[in-house]
Amino acid sequence: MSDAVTANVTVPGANGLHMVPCSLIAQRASKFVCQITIRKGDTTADACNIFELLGLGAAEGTNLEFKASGEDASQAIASLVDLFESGFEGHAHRASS
Amino acid sequence: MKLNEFVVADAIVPDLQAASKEDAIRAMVASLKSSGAIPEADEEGIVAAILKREELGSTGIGNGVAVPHTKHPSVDRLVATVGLSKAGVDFASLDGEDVFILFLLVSPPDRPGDHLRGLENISRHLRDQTFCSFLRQSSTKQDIIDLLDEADGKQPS
Repeated sequence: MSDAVTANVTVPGANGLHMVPCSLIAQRASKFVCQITIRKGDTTADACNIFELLGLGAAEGTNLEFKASGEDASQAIASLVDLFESGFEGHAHRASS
Repeated sequence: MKLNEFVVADAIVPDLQAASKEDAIRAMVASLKSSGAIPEADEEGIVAAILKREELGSTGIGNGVAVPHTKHPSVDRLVATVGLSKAGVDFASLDGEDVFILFLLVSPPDRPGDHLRGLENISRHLRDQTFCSFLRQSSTKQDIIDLLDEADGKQPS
């Protein structure tokens, strides 16, 4: 089994991981072949599953841990970290595409 | 936060008749108004705000489920209703499938945490295929209330 790649992020934005950010995360995570999870405390969500992401109920300032395993794990984690660091700005109009 | 703390029982629509996304949203907001959960004067403004939110991306999130929502100053706490469509509604969902289960939420603009906890709660239940299946088989308001109560009972507090 390949080594897992991990990263820690903090949830930006006063509204937390509401539906638009969760849609963006799931969309982006789905572009990669690796398995990606996002953990908040003892709850873990599949990054491709919007129900599980919303189920985290992650408010602003929450610390989350990404973990990815698979051939493109590094790229996937970098891409998701970018998304968080952008504060999900400028992406919303693509959420439904 | 439990479902029965914010789902307005009187506003539940067990047999939603809607040919479109807008029809569905209008019918559910009208039901919230009839139950007294939102002021009549704000009905149209709330419908418009929800439709505008849909332009950002459909809240049809797959599994036959949609969660249309908005923030609106006419409410001082999170209020929601449930609608079930037997025929299905084209909601331009993320997975391209029609929607049969709708949870519509209106929350106060200054309480993003409540909105988030409402979404969290709904999502946790709706990812359970058994819950969705029982919900879709419900034909009366009371069936739905009983199912939500049962789901609340299973939830760790």
